[in-house]
Formats: sequence, structure tokens, C-alpha cells
Amino acid sequence: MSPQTLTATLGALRKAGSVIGVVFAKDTEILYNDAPFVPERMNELVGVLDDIAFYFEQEKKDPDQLAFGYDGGNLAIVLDGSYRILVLHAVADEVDFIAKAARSFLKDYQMSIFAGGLVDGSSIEESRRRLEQSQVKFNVAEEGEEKPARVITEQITAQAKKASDMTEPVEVSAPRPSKTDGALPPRRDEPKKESGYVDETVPAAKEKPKPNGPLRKEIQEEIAREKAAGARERAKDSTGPILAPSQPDSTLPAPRKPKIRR
Amino acid sequence: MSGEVTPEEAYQQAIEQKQPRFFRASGGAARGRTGTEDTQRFAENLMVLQECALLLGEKMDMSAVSHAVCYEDEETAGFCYDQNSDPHDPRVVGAIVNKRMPMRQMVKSMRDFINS
Repeated sequence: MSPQTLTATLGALRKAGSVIGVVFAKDTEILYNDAPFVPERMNELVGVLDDIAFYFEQEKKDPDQLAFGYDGGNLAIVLDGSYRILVLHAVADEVDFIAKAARSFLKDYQMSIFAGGLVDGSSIEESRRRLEQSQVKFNVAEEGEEKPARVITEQITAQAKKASDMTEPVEVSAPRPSKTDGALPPRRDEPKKESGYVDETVPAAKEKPKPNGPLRKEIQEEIAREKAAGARERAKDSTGPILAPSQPDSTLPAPRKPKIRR
Repeated sequence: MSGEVTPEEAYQQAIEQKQPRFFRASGGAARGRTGTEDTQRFAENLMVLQECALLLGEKMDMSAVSHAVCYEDEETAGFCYDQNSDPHDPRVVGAIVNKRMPMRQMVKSMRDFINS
């Protein structure tokens, strides 16, 4: 099942009735989260649910549905092996409808994984590979034209190889570092390092070099050029005069001292 | 011979008719009409469900549990707090039924038993 299908289906459940939150998880991994809590808290909640499922497993019990009523809301949980759906809802009477919808989704999800494994070979290893590549397979199916199974398999393999080599494209909005800035900005997902921490793999590259010594003059000139270029860009946008490339940032005379009238 | 139904008979009757078997619990003791073994099962279910409800509710800042229901195979088990009882010594009514009863119906039957 593609992420789009997953999001659309669970998004529909999220908007149904008095539902205020939906979480879909596999073991302790959250696959979909649309709940009014911070992600850390949902991670804890899913962790607790995993512990509960482990307890039931140890006790040789296999509950497939749990429903809890609280003063502030209700929680419906549908379990299917390692897959779990948690639905937070306000009206207690809706629990049967919600559980039914969640169960249907889980069946569809499992069926899509299983059907993917049967396309060319039904071994466990092949099914597992299909599960990992389910995204690629559905992209092929969305093209809409019928192709022989061999061609589809080849495309799947090629796309899977391509997908394994490349990461998903992400929009880059961070500013590019200038030439004078020696260190790259830290990645957003990189954990903050404590002060005094020294990265052994990249020792001194993260220290910002100070413009000192023989390069200082060149760097200052470069900064001045960049400022002038920026001023020209701003001048283009505004209705004011356009500066020539050789002109400095400002050609106005220095402000005169105002006369004092007595 | 008296016309009273023994616990074994009551249990068999409830199983055959797929009717809920009701229990009461308060002060750390559970009571039922369908035999000691069935009451022990209810007590175990009650402890597990209460623990689960508290653990999950703690993560959502919802500590006051009103009811809990669990479905396993063709059996439904649950409990419901008696809202008329003393908050310092709460009474709980529970039920086990050997079919998948809708939760709404399950909670309603327990509330009816409380009010009966």
C-alpha cells in the first residue's frame, strides 16, 4: 500500500464522526500519526501498547480489540499481529463503527502486502522483499496501462534498485553557506551536541575560520563586493537609480551637520 | 429439593444461550453466580484491563476510567464502574459473554445490571 493510499484511508477515518486522533503502528514504529499529542508522547503510548501486546503474548492470549472509556474521551485499539491502530474518539457509542473501519483497513493493508508477495513467487523471503518494495510496486500499477507480468517484474526490480540507491527527494529551503562561512549549518535531524563534544571523524572542520592573516584583506574585499551586489539587486527591485558594477554601495555624500538657528 | 439454580447450571445456561455472565467487584473481592472458576477468570480479566486502562490513560492525561472492553476470539469481556458508588470504595460490574457482542450493547447491559 502506497503512503498516499495509507494517508487517504486513515485520513478518512480521522475525519469520521467524533474521531480526534488516529495512530497506525507496527510494533513500536509509528507508520501514521494524526493525533493531538506531541510525537514523543505518541511514541510512549505506542511503546506501552507494545508492552501490553507482549504481556498478552506471554499469557497466551490474543485479543484483537480493546476499548477503553475515560472521562475525557475514548480509546479504541485494533490489534492484528504486530500491526495496531489506535483511535481516539469523543463519543463512546461510535466505538463499534470505528473498530469496524479500522479492522477493514488492517485487512486491506495485510492483503496488499500478501498479494504483492504472490506476484512472482510465494516464498517468505520474496514476500518480505515485496513488503519492503511495496511503494515501488504501486507506483508501477498507477501508470494505468496493462503490461505482461515479466515487464512489470523487471520494472519493479529496476525501480527497486534505483530506490535503494537514492533517497527520496526533499525540498531544501536552508540558505547556502557563503564562501566566507567555513562550517556547514547543522542538519535539522542531527542531534544537538553538548558543549565540549569533539567529533573524532571530522575533527576541526566545524570550527568557523576567523578572517585573520594574509587572507583577511581578500575576504573583506569579497564581503564588500557581495554587499555592493546586494545593493544593486535591491536597487533593481526598487524604483531608485541603478548602480553601475564599478560603483560602491552608496554614492551619496556624507550627511551634513545641521545648522543651529538661534 | 429447592428450585434454585446451581452455579454450574447457571454457567451452562449462559453459555448455551450466549448470555452475559455478570459479576460484581469491590474492596478487592469479586462475586459471581456462575461458579468460582468463572469468577476467577473475571477477576483476572478485570486486573489486566484495569492495568491496561491506567497505563494507556496515563500517557493521554486521562486517568478516570469509566469502562473497558476486550475482544478475544468469540468472547467479549469487560467492566464498568458503578457511578453511584463511593469514589473511595468504588464498585465495579463486569461481564463475560461467549460471543462478539457490540461494545455499545455490552456497556448498556452492564449499566442495566448496575441499575437493576
